This record gives sequence, structure tokens and C-alpha cells, in this order.
Amino acid sequence: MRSLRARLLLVTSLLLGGALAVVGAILDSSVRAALDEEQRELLDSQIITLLAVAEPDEGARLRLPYDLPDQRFNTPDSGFYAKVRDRSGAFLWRSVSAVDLTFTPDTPLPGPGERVFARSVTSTGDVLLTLTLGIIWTFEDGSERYFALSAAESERAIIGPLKKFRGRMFAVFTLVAAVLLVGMGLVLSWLLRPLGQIASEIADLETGVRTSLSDHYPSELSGVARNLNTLMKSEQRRTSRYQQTLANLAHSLKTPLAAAKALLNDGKAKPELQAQMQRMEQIVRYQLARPAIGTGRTVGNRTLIEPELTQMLDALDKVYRDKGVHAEIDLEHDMVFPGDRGDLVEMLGNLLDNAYKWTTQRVLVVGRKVAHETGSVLELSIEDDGAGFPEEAAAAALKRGTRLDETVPGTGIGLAVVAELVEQYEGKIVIERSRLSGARVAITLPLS
Amino acid sequence: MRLLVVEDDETLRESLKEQLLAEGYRVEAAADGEEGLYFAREYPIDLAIVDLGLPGIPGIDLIKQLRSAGYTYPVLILTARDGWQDKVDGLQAGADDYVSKPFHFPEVSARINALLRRAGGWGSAVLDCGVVKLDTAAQTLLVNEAAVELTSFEYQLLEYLMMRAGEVVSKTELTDRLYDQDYERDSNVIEVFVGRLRKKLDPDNSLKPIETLRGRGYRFALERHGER
Repeated sequence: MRSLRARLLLVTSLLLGGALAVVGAILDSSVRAALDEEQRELLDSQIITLLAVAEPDEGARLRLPYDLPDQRFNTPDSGFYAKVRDRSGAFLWRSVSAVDLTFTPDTPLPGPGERVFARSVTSTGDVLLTLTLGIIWTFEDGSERYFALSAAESERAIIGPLKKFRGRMFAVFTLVAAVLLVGMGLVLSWLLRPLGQIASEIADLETGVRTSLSDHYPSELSGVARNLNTLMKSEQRRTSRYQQTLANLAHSLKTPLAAAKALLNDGKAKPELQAQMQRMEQIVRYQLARPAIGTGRTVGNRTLIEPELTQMLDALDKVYRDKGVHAEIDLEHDMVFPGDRGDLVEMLGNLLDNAYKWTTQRVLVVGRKVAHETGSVLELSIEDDGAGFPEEAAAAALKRGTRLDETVPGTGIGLAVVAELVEQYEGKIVIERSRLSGARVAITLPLS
Repeated sequence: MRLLVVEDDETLRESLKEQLLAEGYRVEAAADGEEGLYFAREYPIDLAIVDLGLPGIPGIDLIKQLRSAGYTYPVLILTARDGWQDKVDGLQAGADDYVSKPFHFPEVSARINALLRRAGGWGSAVLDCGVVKLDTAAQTLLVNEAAVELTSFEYQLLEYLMMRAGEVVSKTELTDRLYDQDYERDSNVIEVFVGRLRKKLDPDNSLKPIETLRGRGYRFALERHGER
């Protein structure tokens, strides 16, 4: 059960079903008891009628007419039966309707003045409700005899109303359950709406539509929303402080390094010293550039590509004015980069600077949003019509953790920085030969 | 050529100044933006080298102020920040190129050379006026495809004139650009060196590459070849 709503609805349905079943069973049995009682009273009056028509004869026997006033007793299989038995349980008389019936088990013989209400099954499979009255008849000659008078009616008579009642009960219960469940569902949606809202706002944070959660949540959630906002703010602050610190560190190391280098060049220093200096310089350039840039994919960051791209091309057109580079852009106006503006500028700067450096005339920038099964990705490629670069150099430039003294000054660091950034964004970078004859650097970044 | 260097680190500033002087440039070195603006107002500058991380007026603001004050000469940025955003911001503020610290001096020198060439309307490192070709990268002169040796000052003078080929360059301008300030203004050094250049470029006096316009100055008269 992944959804809270499904869990709650399941539990509610089970409880509701159980409760309705219990109530239904109780109602059913009381209705049945009431019907039985009614039946019993009816049968009682039949027995009274039977007593009324019974005539004692001189042989100390009880005589009953062949035909009873109620015609149903005279019609076979009518569902109405009557019988009189003696102390031994032998039939003394049976109504016409009961002549060819056997009762299994036969209804018990009650004591004198007692009534017994029982169910029995006839030989035809009919269920009979039978009331039996035990009496002692005092004849004129003073002798007393025991008789058991029974009146029976088929259960069919009460099954009908019972079925009707059950049908009505089922309909009412179904209606009640449906109304309750629908109401419950509505209440649930109302209760869960803030959860849905917080989820969609968090999704908006990821795509960068909003930068913090709103503050109108119910008291149970407002704490969570507030804490998330605080967490996000502190993360942003910490990242920017970290970047700032590293940038400052790089800055403050580079100027003295430049000065020291200038001094070394002046004084004809030992080559070993110069080599060490060179190494220090590369370390500062590469290692400090690497973490200072690149926040990776953080919640709430996205940047429109086109303005940054245009700005970068303007800047590079200025630097490479002599070359008269012709740059073509092919991407949608609203295409976004899934992260920090600084990271985008860094990638574009390094890749476009390389392209401008090596191109003869044409530089082509293509951006595409491509939908994959695993989610959509941004494909950004930059190519030039220069001589391209040797495959082993491309591989070395992209290889993670390439040893610094192996990287080619000028090109290696820029590409390694881009590769590092792309990795932080869980993307991919490929260098291949462009159709324009030069190099084509393609980066693929997941968008969601 | 007179360059303005604005860099707050003293060691770096002094060594840049020395190396630029050794290349034959005149150099005004300022330690901060205020001083840089002062030099920009007081001296005829051909190119400014500005460190972005300056105390007081930031480098970017200095460049903006130079541009809004109407100075159009090239500006080269020195930046210790590797971030591309800083470079883009600098270029948008009006700079023309950048060099990241720590740099190799030859790289700075090459950028300066290219910017100056470009400011003079030359697209390539070789100032090609047909018979006379001056390679500003190798600092060599070819006349009729034959190499001609120049002294440092002769080279500077010829480069300045050829950069502005077709334009009149006043003697005062040449003095300002090519002399240190403490040289005597009225000396006839320029005339002497123009004379020596004419002999080297045009020994049989048939080409007449450098014209003298009385009271106005000099003009490199050979037509530019190649792109402008």
C-alpha cells in the first residue's frame, strides 16, 4: 500500500463492512424472531379454533370434523397443517392437507398446558413451523386423556417478508456504505490536499519555478515547510560561501604566483625551480578552479541558456575579432540548463573558447531537449571547422583525474573543468570529429 | 607606444613594467583605480592593462569609467579569477581581451601587440605595405623581401607610423608615445630617427615611404595591403 489514501480507504471499507455485517445479522435475527412470534400467535389461534371444533364422543374420544372452517387446512400442500396425537405420539387425526405428510423429526410432545414451538422438515422437504399444545381433556364420564394438538405452517409464509426485508436492508446498507465512502474520499482529498501541494511545490523547486515553499500550510505541515526552507537557504548560503572562499584563495594565490614567475624569468633561475613553479601554477589553476565552480544539480536552480550563450559569443567575438568567426546558434529560446548560472557560463566559456581558438571560421552551437525512457535530457553540442584534435588528446583531456603535468596548457584545463562539471551534473561528454571537419564536443545532461 | 598598467600587487606591477619597457614600450604603472584614472587623464595612452581585482575602484568600474570618459584605446584585462563570468563581465564593460593569472609574459606581450595592431586597423601581425613589410610578432622588417636590421627605437618609430599608415602623426604625438616623459620635448631626436629610417627603407630615395608635412607631422605614405 503505497498511498495514504488507499490505506485509509481500505481500512475504512473493512471496518464499515464489518460493522454493517454485524448490524445486519442482528437486525436479521430480530426480524426473524418477530416473524416467528407473529407466526406462533397465528398458530396459537389456529389451535384454539381446533379446540373449538373438537367434540368429545361417548367413547371418550375426541372427534374432529373432516373439514375445518379454514379451507387451507383442507387443501393438500397448502402450507397449513393440523394434527392431533395421543400420549404415545400416534396420530389421532390429521387435517386433509397433512394426510400424506410425514414429519421428521416429529414435533415433541409437550406436557399438559404447555406449548412447544418447533421447526421440522416434511417428507416433501418443506420446512414447517409447528406449535403444539398439550392438553388434558376431561370427558363426561370423568376419565381424563392427554392430547397433543398441533398447528403448522410452512416457513414459506415468513420467508417472503424476510427476503423482502433483507433486500431492503441490503439496499439501504449499500447506500449508506457508498455515501460514507464517497464522503470519506472527499474528506481525504481535503485533508491530503496540503500534502499534494507540498509535493508539487517541491517539484517546482527542483525545476526552479519557485525558490522556496509557501507559508500557508496547516499547522501539522507548516513546521516541515519552514524547516525545508531553512535547510535550503542554509545550503545555498554554505555553497556560495564555500565557492567564495575558494575563489578568494585562488585569487590571492595567483597574483603572488604571477609575480614570482615574473621574478624568476628575470633572474635566470634554475630550471628545476621554474618547473616547480609551473607545477604550482597548474595545481592552482586546475584544483582551485574545479571545486570553486560547479555546485552540481542543486534543488531550485535552472538557467535560461540563450541569454548566456549570446553574451558569451559577444564576448568571444570581441576577443577573436581578427578571425571573423561566424557562430550559428540552433536552439529553442526557452531552453533551460538544469543548474547554476555560473556552471553554465563556465561550460560555455571553456567549450566556446576552444572552438573559437581552433576554428577556421564557423562555430556551430546546437541545443536539443530529448525525451528518453528514463527522463528527458539536454543535449548541447559545440563544433568548429578547424583541424580537430588528435583522438588521444581528446581522451586524455576528458579522463578524470588526468595527471596535471600531462595536460596540455591552454586546452587541457578548460576541457577537464568541463568534464568535471558534466560529471557533477551526472551527464556525459563526448569529443568527436565534427561534420564541419573540426572537433565536436557534445554534452548530455539529465533534466529531471 | 605608451601603455597604462593598473595592478595592485607591487612585485607583479614592477616586473610587468620592466618587461614592457624592455620591449620598447613607454609604461605608466598605477597601483589602484584612482591612480589609473589619473594617468589616463594626464598621459596619451595607447593601451591599458587592468587587473580586475583592484582595491578601491574595481577593475570593471575603472574600465567603464575609461570608456564613458571617451577613451577608445584597447584594454587588456588581467584576472586571477578563472571564472568565465568575470571575463565576460570585463569584456562587456569595454575591455578587448583578457589574460588569466598567472600568465607567461610572452602571452601578455602577444596580446598587447595584437590589440595595438587591431586598434590601428591591421588584421594580421604583419603590417604589409607592399614593398615594406613589418612583422610585429617577430619584430622584423622586410624591404623588397630582404631583411633590414633596425634598432629598438627605429623599430618603435616605424611600427607606430605603420600602425597608423595613411594618417598624419604629429611630432608631439610621437614624442609622447615613444619617449619617456623626462626626455626633453624639443629635442630633434624624432627628426634624426625619421631620417635614419628613410635611409634604411629607401636607400635610393625612390620609394618615399615617410612623408613630412610641414608643421603637421609625418605620414607613412605606402598603401596598406591585405585586409583592413
